[in-house]
Amino acid sequence: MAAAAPGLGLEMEETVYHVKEGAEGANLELENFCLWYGKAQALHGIGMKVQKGIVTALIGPSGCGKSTLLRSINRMNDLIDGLSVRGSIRLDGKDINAPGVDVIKLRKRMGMVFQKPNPFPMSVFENVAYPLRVDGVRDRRMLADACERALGEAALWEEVKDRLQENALGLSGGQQQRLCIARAIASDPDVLLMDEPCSALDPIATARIEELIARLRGHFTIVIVTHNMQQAARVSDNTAFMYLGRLIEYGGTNEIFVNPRLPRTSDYITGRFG
Amino acid sequence: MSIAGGKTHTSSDFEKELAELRRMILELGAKVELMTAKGMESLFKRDSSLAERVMSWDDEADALNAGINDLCLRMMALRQPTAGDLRLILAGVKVASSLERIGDLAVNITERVLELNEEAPLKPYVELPRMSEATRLMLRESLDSFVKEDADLAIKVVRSDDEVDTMNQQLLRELLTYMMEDARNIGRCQRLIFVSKYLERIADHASGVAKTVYFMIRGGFPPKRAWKKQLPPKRLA
Repeated sequence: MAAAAPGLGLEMEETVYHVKEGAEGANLELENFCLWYGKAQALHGIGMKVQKGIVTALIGPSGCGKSTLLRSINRMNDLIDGLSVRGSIRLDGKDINAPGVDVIKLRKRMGMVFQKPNPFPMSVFENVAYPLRVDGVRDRRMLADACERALGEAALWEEVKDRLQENALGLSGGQQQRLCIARAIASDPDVLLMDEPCSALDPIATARIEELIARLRGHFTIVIVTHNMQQAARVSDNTAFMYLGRLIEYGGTNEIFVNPRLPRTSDYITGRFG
Repeated sequence: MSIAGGKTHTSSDFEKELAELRRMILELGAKVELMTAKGMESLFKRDSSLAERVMSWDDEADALNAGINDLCLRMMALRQPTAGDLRLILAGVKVASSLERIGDLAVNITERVLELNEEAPLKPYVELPRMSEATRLMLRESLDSFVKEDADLAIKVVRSDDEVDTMNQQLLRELLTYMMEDARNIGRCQRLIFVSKYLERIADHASGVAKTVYFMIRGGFPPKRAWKKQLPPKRLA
């Protein structure tokens, strides 16, 4: 539940839920999750159940905590000094912040794709094989199979199958981003986290990534942060609207965009904010 | 809460377009309401020139409907509307289409008027003025529910539809007796039955407008029984 925020006009609001449930229920559950950067609280009592195998979009104005929330899910925020958290994030019922959790193992279960494509300065093949090599896989056949499968799933195989040994930095921006998605799914994670994966791409490359997200749906639990509300509307099953570090409304994407329950959500998605 | 929440859009151009859509719908609504009223007046006063004037207004109603469709199409293509804006635009297309049909039905009334005016009057009009008034009220209130975003008023309009249907049935029965009385009455009676049917269809369209307005405001429909008139509890004998 969103906690009271004196003076911000949010005192009366509690998170409104009308979530579309996936066939397999939720595999990622956040409960009263709060996060502070030093003394500044960035997330306030976030409670959400992310449904397995479907796409959840996080939307909200800049600085509302979308990326912070996304980065909390694979504990990328751990590297920030003075960071503290309260509440829990559970993956398949296990608290990811519990003492003794192996963060590397945790991150292996979560692929992440960032705003700007960030392929490693090595060949296309090595980019995709990297997570498997880190895992200790040495068998060339196994690496080649995994590479073809991941590139195929990322809808890139046909375009790069003859260029596997070329430097990945020579690919176009859209191809580089799909390569990053291939790398993220090569080790077969449970969850795919995407932080504005299309914001650096042109409309055609964006459409390809969106098509790819639709294809990956069902295989991975996907959480996508996006500033582009039409994109959230196009690709996601559930949408979570955040504002000032609070989860305001979390529900089926159709309903959020056609008939949102809260005036604040409606104001944001129709462009009447502030 | 109104569908815009009383707030203006960040894009002032979009805001202007939404305001223009509301204005055009009201203009079309006022036009077809006048066409219906004057069409019936031309019947009651046996005024053929008024009937022809009403016919000439139909082009303006058609043009307004086409203009509303263009505007809505443009907004959908260029603005990617969501939530209340999206529902307003969808309602705009549907309401305009219903209103345009009402204009056509008013023209149909005047066509029958011109035919009726070539013969002697059949009888003093009793039921038709009441029916005309009830239909006009439905049309006006459906437009009011749009302007005021009043879902309760929209429900009231839909509930009134049964009254017009009942009046239509009554008139039909009455005219049947005239036809049975004298076969020479059949032509005039038939035309009056048509007029009554047109009014009944206009009321149906007004009811459709009200349902669309309800959806525009609430984003869904109420349970079906909400559209039905609440009857007073039956008294024990």
